[in-house]
Amino acid sequence: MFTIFVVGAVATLPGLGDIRSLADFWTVLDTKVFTGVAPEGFEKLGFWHIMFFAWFCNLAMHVDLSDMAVFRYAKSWRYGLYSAFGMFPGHFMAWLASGIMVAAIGLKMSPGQMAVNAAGLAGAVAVVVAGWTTANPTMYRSGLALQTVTPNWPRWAVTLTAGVVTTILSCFPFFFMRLLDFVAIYGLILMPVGAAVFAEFWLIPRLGIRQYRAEQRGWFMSYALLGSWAITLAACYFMPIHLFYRWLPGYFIALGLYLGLAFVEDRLRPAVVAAAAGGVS
Amino acid sequence: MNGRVTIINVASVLAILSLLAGLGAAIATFTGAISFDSYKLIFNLASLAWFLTSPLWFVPQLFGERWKEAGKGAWLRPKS
Repeated sequence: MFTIFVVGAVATLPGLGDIRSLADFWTVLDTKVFTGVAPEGFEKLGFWHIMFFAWFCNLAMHVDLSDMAVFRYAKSWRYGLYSAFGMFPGHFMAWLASGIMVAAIGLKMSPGQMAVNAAGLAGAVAVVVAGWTTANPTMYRSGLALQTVTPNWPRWAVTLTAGVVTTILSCFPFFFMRLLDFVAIYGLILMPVGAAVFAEFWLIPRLGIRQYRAEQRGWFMSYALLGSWAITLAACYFMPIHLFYRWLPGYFIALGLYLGLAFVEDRLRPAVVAAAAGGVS
Repeated sequence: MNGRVTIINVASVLAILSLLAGLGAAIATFTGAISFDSYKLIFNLASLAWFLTSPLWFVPQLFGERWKEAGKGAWLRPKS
């Protein structure tokens, strides 16, 4: 996949202008590729927007911890570092390369046309395979999540249903043309949960708060989690900064809120009688 | 067993060569040594070679228990 991006960009560059030096290369990038003019209907994004979005667009998987659905099978903690492959070569390098390839087809927002022009049939296969491999772990995660709602369904049926629904939805321009905002919003919605899981596992034992209170005391719901999630999202909604920047301050708000609310909940909320009778704390 | 190890070794070398061929074709068209159409042909053949050979290199277990065992003795495979 990385090879196709690099190769496609290198091969299509001469079509954009005569490049004999680094200065020529820079001029072509400035005048033909990254022109600073946003396509109609889209806002102009600068360096920091792109950098933060490179972080943000996989936020749901990394900081929000939904990758744990897959990483629970990891044989070593080092497997978590593989996320960096998606982050750096997968975003920064691939986005730079795809910028060049899109310029080669006259800045048309057509991934299929771009790939076929730059790399022929192999490019088209790469687009399909890229979509498939990106979706695979997410399909699995959504199957796991939905199975909590439909516990009587086998996992393959839940995953298949989720896959069919999302495949149909993804055919509509509302979703695929606004992917940036869509990805940013779902990353943001999950972010307080990732912060709560991090706090629950790493911070709460060090602060003298009992871990896993909801499970231990038989609560249906953790109000600390619900409260920190809702307040964090409300705070993010009103932040006077671009959507792509909101998750970072939001993450620390969620951490602080969850720790504070968990402390209060631990002290004030008793166990459910049935659970307490069952011998838990 | 030895025959399978050899096949995996050959497949891994061919896979690396196919990557290099694709990169080389792109650089050659960038420098003007070959045409864009020639680059596309070479790159697509190299991609085909990659997809045919890399599964034997990376996931020999896909082809059965004997291939999985053979993979343990191949050159460019993780030993653990």
